[in-house]
Amino acid sequence: MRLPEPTFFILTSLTEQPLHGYGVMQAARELSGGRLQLRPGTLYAALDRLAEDGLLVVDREEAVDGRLRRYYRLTDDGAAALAAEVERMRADATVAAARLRHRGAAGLALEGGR
Amino acid sequence: MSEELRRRYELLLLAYPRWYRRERGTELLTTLLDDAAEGQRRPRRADALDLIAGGLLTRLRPPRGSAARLLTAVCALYAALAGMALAVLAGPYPGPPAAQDALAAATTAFGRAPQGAPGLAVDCDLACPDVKGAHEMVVFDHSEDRTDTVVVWADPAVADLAQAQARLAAAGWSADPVVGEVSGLRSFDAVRDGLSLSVSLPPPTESDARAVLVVSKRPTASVVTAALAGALAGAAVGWLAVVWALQRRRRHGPALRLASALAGAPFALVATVTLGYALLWAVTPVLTGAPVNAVAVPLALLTLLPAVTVAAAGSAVLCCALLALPGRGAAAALGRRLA
Repeated sequence: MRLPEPTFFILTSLTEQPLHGYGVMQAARELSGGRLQLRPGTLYAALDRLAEDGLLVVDREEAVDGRLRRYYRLTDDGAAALAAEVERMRADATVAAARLRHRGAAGLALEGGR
Repeated sequence: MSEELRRRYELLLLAYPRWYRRERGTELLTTLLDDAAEGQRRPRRADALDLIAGGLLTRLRPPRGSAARLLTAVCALYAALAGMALAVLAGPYPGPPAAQDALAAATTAFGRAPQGAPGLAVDCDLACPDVKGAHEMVVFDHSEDRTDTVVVWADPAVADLAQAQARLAAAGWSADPVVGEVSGLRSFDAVRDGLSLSVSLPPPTESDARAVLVVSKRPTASVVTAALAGALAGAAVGWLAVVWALQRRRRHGPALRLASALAGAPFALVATVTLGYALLWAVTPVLTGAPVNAVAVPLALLTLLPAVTVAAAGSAVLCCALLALPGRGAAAALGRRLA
């Protein structure tokens, strides 16, 4: 099963260290080159699902001044799911790149034959 | 941080169910405020829509797992049936046809008047029903209500479908063609004014075969509208209730989980069997090409065995009452995070 893009970047953002919700939003934005603007409603729906599936867990909580930050940590299952997704993406990219090279070569040959 | 912004976010968070706000409210609010720009006083429109969508989804989405999803679908569909039945029963259904009208239609179709006194008790000539009070030829399908059909039985020797069709047509009925079923039963439907009737004749090989004429009032457009609205409302209520129950269940200990499952099991069983029948009733006419007389199918399903329907409702209520007991607390709902 393919990981949706927000899920993919949430997992990716947690590979190095546990992050809180806002940290995940920032990291996902940076990692996607500004393309993915996670909004809190979407983010927490995804975090709930990922926690349910055991792909991430709460690492610790920080409660200061009526604010609460929960830090999420990638589990081994989460890392494995991400690795599998990366492998799929790599395989797909390889196939597509090979087809494109083929197309380029065929086009050149045609032009050359004229 | 603007106090106004916080208040507005808190208002938006009301889209989420209360248990979720208790567990996640402060955290979500913190993230929202972390994400706010300096001096921002109102939530961004996209964030507001995202929160409302997230809240609704949390209320509507069944927990993971095919069993939970199947249960949600079954309960919602059963609730849709119940909603439809209630709407038909309490709504603008034009009422059962008069016994006299049914007898008049039967007299036209079979070409001979019933002998004996007309009305509910007639001599066993046109019809010889095999029921208590043996001389009745008009029976109601169950305890009387506005959607009742009136059934007239006739000796198959006097019943010829082609002739019945011709006689009815001559009397102003518009009759559909005769269709045959695999079982050998042949039948046709006819309508005139507000009445609808279905005449069927079993194969002559069958012992104690009887021609049957079912008369019902035709559902009006407002009946159909009410039925659809009832089904939609029922499905929505059923869906919300089962998702609530499943989410609530995760916050209880093993004892209450087991108790609620046992309490709800009869309901789940009845709902599944009823839906199976509903599906059969919906599919069979399509497969066999048999006509469907315009009777209230969901109502018939739910009132076929009223005691079972009442017991199922009791089981569902008991299950929900158990789940409504105070839960163990916040942790369990966030999955395995404490594991």
